[in-house]
Amino acid sequence: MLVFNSITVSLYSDQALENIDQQLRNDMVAVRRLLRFNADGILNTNPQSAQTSLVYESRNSIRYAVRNTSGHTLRFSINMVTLGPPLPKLENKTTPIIEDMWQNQSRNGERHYRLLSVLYPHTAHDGNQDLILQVLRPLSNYDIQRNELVTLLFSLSPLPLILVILGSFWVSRLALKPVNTLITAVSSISAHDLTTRLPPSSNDELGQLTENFNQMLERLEQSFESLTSFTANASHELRTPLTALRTQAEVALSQSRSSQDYQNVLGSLLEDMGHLEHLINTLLHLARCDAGLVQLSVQHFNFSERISYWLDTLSVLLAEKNIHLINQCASDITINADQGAIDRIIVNLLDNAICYTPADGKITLSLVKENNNIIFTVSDTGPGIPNHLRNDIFDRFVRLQKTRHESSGAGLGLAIVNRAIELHHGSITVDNNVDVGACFSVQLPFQQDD
Amino acid sequence: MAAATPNLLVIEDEPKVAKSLKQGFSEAGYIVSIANSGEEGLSIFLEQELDIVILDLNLPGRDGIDILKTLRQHTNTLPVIILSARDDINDRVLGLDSGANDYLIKPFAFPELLARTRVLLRQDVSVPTLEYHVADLSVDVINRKAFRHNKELNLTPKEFEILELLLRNQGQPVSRRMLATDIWRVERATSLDNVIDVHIMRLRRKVDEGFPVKLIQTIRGLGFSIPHDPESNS
Repeated sequence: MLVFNSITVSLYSDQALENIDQQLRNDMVAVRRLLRFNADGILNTNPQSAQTSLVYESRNSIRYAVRNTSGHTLRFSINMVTLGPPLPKLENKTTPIIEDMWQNQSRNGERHYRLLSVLYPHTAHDGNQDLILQVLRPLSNYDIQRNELVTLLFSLSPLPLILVILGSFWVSRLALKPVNTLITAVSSISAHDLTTRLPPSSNDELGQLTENFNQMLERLEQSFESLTSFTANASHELRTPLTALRTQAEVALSQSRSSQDYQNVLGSLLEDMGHLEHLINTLLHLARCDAGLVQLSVQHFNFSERISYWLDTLSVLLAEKNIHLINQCASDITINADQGAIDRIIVNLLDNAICYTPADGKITLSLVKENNNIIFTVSDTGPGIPNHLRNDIFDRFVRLQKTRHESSGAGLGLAIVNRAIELHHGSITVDNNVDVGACFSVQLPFQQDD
Repeated sequence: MAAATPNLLVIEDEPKVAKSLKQGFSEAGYIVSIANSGEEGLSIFLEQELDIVILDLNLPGRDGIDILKTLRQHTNTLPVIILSARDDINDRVLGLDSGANDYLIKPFAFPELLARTRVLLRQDVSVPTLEYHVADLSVDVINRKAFRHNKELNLTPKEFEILELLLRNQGQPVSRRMLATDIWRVERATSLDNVIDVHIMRLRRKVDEGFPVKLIQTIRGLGFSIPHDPESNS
């Protein structure tokens, strides 16, 4: 604001002075025209002969003085005496060649003039008679106007400033009000209570932010819920075999027994430890998948052959339960994937199907290639998946029946399958067959991008 | 086996594990030295004529891989089995690349460690057993045939492999995990316990059913075994 004012004033001053200087130059032209010399070349100082010039002078209110080079005033305008200030003295009056000279003339610190002095070369009969011509205009009007402008500008300038400041406060308070609401709402959210949602606000960027924040909360809440339920399930699954271990050992040591008894107890302890170890290994594997620590070693291999291999391996289980296998897998379907992960998908789905299919039941496998996807389905004649479990079946520890040690994964098999599929950017769905049993359908991209 | 009693060094800083290993190997007929740190292990190695080293990777001071590399600067023939809680495939590769002969992940089954130790010590002899005779069971490894009481047993290839593995470790228990890794070559995360149990049940039906002497025994918690003198166990 100050800068703006200063620039305005300085521009105004320059322009005003320029105008005055132009007037001075015009005056000087007029003064030159008014100069009259007698036959001897002497300046005519007779007022009579200068009659016309007097009229002209007063009409145009020119203030001028004509001096010789020694500083003696030869002639001057009337208003130079009556209206104007006393004749200013030429500073360089002895200097013979004074051309244009601009001066800010100030007397008694009150009045302010602008003076144009010109050396007028003239030769008279008795030699050099150079004259100095001076015209003068007062700067009082200019000063007053300039001061008024300054006063006006600097007295008015705080007003818009204050208005702007007040306005910005108001606008920012208005704009920040929803932000403050958000801050209050956000600070009330913690890991213990993720159910709170931010109040929906306007349709602008803040509204979007609120919406995104709510979506993030939704995901966080789901993650926390799954983590909480996982922790609860994991502690149950880990504590149960630990309790068994502890109780067996404590009871065994409570009184002396035969070595055969001790052997039995130790053997039983080892069995339970085996289960525990397998559980921990599986949980570690899942945790690594979740943490993104599992690196895929992608290679090209025959998917159909892997299915055949695992069918061969698990065939004894099929035979034991007299399960009829209908193998509709296309042969020679290859894939670019991590073979270990694909093996886990196949073996866990097969194991699951064998586990839940009753004796004399039926398992149907199919493997087809559609566009860039490979679709592997495993259909059984087991109890199927209850609707309320349809979404949770791929979570950890979700089992159809609360039977321990029946399935190899202790309720982790489908979670392993799900992670392996996710790692390959595929998908798995489960549906109940029209007649009986469940049908798992795995869709995997043929080619891994990475 | 080069020496009558093999000299074995265990480098392991966890006292309970070290103590159990010492007891287990001693009872299996080994002379066992225990070192609680890598440096101690190296000084024992320089003092004694060792036949095999069991090396824990996570040691105080210099870690196991470092010790192994130093050891390999002295000898390339001494077998080394690594024990490690790190089951990442990269750790395993690093261990084997650094000169280990085998790599077992903790928690390991002691019978498996014992079996692998025996395998490594037997490498010197490199005369594979071609025929096994236990009681009235005879097994022809080359022709993949097995006879009980002079009558040929109709075994599937998998059943034959299991029988052979049991015989190779005769008198020692063979765990389900050993069967899974040696015969099915599956990774740790995959459990084949139910498959193995069915195979063992069928094998037992073919080998032992109808005979008073039962050869294939279940050792609870450890696995299965064919004893040296089956009569006394029947």
